[in-house]
Amino acid sequence: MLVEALEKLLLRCAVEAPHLLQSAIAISFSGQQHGSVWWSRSVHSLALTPSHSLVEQLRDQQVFVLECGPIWMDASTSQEVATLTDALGGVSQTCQKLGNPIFERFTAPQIAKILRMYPRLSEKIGAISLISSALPTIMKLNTAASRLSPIRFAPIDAADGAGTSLVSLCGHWNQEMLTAIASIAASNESTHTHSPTQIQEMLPSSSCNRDTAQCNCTTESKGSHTLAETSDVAWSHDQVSLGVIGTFWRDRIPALNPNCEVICGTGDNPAALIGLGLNEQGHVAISLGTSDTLYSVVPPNSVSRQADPANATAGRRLTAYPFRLPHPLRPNLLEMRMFVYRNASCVRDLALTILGRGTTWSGLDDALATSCSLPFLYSCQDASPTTRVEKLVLAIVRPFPEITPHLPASPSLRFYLASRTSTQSQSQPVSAPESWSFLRLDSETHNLSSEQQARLLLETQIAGLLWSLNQTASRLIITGGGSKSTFLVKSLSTAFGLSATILETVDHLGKRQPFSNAAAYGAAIRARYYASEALKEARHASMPSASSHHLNVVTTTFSPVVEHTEIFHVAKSALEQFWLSE
Amino acid sequence: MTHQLLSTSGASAINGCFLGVDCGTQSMKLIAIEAGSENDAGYPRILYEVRSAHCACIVHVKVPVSYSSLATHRESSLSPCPCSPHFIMIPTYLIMVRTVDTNVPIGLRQQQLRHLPLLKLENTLNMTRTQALCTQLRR
Repeated sequence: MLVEALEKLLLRCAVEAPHLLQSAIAISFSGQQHGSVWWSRSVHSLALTPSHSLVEQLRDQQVFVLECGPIWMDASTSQEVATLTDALGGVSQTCQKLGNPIFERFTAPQIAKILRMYPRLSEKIGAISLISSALPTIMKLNTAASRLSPIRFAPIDAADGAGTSLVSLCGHWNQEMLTAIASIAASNESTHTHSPTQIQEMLPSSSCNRDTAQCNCTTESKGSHTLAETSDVAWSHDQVSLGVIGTFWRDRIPALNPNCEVICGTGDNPAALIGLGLNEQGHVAISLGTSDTLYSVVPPNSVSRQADPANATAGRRLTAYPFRLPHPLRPNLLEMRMFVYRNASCVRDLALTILGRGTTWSGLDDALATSCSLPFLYSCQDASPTTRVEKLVLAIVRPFPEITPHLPASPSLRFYLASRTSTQSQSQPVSAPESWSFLRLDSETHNLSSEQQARLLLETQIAGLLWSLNQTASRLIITGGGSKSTFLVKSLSTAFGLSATILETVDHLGKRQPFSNAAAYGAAIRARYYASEALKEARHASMPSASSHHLNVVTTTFSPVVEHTEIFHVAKSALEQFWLSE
Repeated sequence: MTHQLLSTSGASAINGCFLGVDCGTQSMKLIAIEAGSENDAGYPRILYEVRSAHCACIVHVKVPVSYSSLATHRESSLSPCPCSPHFIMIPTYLIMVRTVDTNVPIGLRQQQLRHLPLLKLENTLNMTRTQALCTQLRR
């Protein structure tokens, strides 16, 4: 399907905007993370004719051993995840070796499962690509008449490789993982065995001639330029750039610039990160969608409190594993972290239902604009000359088990009054406050209005987002459907204590639209970043002035209410203690 | 196929561009950005966007707009069918939520679905099930 879609897109573009294809300097790709594309050995004898549809030719010549490769939605590999995690020494060891735990959707357990289910499939496999590496491979296909060398499979991008569980933090195939996959694959049929070398040969590498079996890389060596240059996944410019498009596309779509350079693709999450403009340490983006996602850019291997694998077995300590991956433009210098909050839109839906004012964000904004109380109904009073009491209200509800932090479902909505006391004397500053105590409130008997209930729900949710980030943020971008709510954006700005930015597009008539397609936009930026300088300069030299018809990506900034920022941090500490007490 | 053509002034007006293609769960998108057009915030101009709704990595199931109240669901990933204003597109992964949760492989189900033409899919969809899906999503 992706082949068909790619061909149709380019053919459509050739009709509607041939001048763009003619001036295309480079092309790059974003693909759903974790998904895999399974090439057959017959790809090596592929004979393409530019006058015919690519998808039909690939189908006729049986180029794929699986017509439907698994994608991120497949959660059927729990058995393989458990086996692979055990083989690597448990969750903690797995995190230290790969950077992330193994999840069902990741490519390694998917490969293990498919090879276990179809043990003889490996005889037919030419290569296994990720979606992001399959697309540039397709763009490099040549016609039968001009094919002089074997097909070149694009390597897996370093950032996308982090979602496979196949790659060590140093960028090399993890040999323990390959051995474990081979073991699983052989478990179904005793007469048919797989070796780690066989598995490795299925994975296109950025340096095919090097023996990686002897790799003894450590986590600390990730930043080494030498290792980066010899890694199995694409780290450096030389590994990312694949040269100009194949002759099939040159002849199939004559409008397409024959010197258009093909740049390795990356995953949709890292591509979206680029598209949003998160390129420096301290940049943070929050996507308010079906699930909320918090992206942050940190130095490589920086320790995150929540990411500490020791927390996984630390009893009452809260755990949350961010998805860690190298930054897609600066993999040697920066790392990207993603926290996912599963209950996000459910909680916002509940807030809207409580308000009973329809389902629009403007309705929510209007309703909460008049609620002028402090966040969390916060109060701080001196109960005596030496005693100060802080109180606030938390709204707790989790229709589904939560991912960040790991907590069980708690479907019924409850409100809790949290309070703590600090003592002080004339001779001493305020002492450390006592622990929080929690009193369950009945929303009716305690006269919580629907506006207050909705606001408490949303603010408690934001305190949860704040809990994940234990670094100083320097830039905050809010995106996703929830970014249409001014209340939510302003509250996030206040909670994080810095201006929040939303992105929109404006056309030449001044019409504004929410910024969408961040992943495709990020892929285009990646093409620009990695395109050969010589090609960029040559193209610039021959091109006249810019068009007036375009979309500008513009930013709108919301300032925090700085005097309320501390209240969110106080609420965060109360929420953390409440979670621990559940 | 939906698209937004942004640049109409011909080849002489373009200062070179870079193409980005996103192969998403529901659709494939192509964006062209203009070389060297970054604004003060660092974002380059978008010259062209085009989106394929039918041929992404996952089958879409069409549901009549008049029947479904899903179109009002704010954060769901639904889109109008570009071929007919009377239908909206539901990506099949929404339909398979239950399948995924119960740990049943979805590969086969996808494969079964993708070999059926879209119009046939409409007929094979049990409307009671569709209604249940709508209710589930709106919850």
